[in-house]
Amino acid sequence: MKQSTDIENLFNQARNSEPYFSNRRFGSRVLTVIKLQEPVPFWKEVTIEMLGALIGCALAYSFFPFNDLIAGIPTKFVIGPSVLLSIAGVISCTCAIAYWTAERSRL
Amino acid sequence: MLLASDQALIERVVTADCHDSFGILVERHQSDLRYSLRQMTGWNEALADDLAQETFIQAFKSLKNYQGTAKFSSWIYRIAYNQMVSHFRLARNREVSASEEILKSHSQQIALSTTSELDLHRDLADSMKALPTKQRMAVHLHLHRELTHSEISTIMGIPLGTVKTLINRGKKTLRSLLSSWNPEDKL
Repeated sequence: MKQSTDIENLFNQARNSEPYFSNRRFGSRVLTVIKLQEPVPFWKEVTIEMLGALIGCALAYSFFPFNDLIAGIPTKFVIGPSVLLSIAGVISCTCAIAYWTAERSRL
Repeated sequence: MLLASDQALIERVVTADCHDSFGILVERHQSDLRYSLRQMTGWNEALADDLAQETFIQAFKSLKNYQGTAKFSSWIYRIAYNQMVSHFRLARNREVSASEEILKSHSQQIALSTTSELDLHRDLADSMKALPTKQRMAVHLHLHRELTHSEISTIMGIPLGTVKTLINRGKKTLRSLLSSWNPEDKL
């Protein structure tokens, strides 16, 4: 082979015999991925969420004894020293757990 | 039947979000791009097709930004080139210029490869692997796709002088790599 023209000839041969790759699978795969990656419109997202919330509320209302729960709420509430101490204890425990959870990785 | 131009199809995709028009664009350009990416990846078919797929997806997303100043195929090649560079960077596929050892091993491989219809294409892709990505792209676009230096400069986003240097260096390396390649031996 002549050194000066071999590369050009080789590329010419390659160009002339370049294979054609079928688009059948490739094209449909590209379009499928594009469709999957398309963002859902805002109104659609909100509608779906609202419908889900409504269905959830309806199911909860039919299965859950809300009236009994409401009746169970005390109508009178006396704040005494023991109640105050209990509330303070619960708040302290909650703060301690929150602090531990937040700082766990640093400790 | 009159075929719609690339520009007309692009307008349809941008204005009417027409996926079918983009499908036609993909069909029109996929084979060339997939072949070029095979040449760029040492005939790694899976990687080349993945890069081509990512290229078209990226193209669809940024089609609104397509100015129409360059050909659509050139624009696609620019995206593909960026995809390829990012891929190689991420894969930490460290590139070194062709050393004597690489040259020698490639020459041996090329001389010994078996005969098949795709021999020439595979051998070219194999020898191109020895070139750094930029040289590989510049050489392929110039020698195979017959693009002008100016078009290559636009696609790769590098100055015209650099394109010429890359092509000359790439050709020189390829000459030494392919010096033992003789298609007549394979017939």
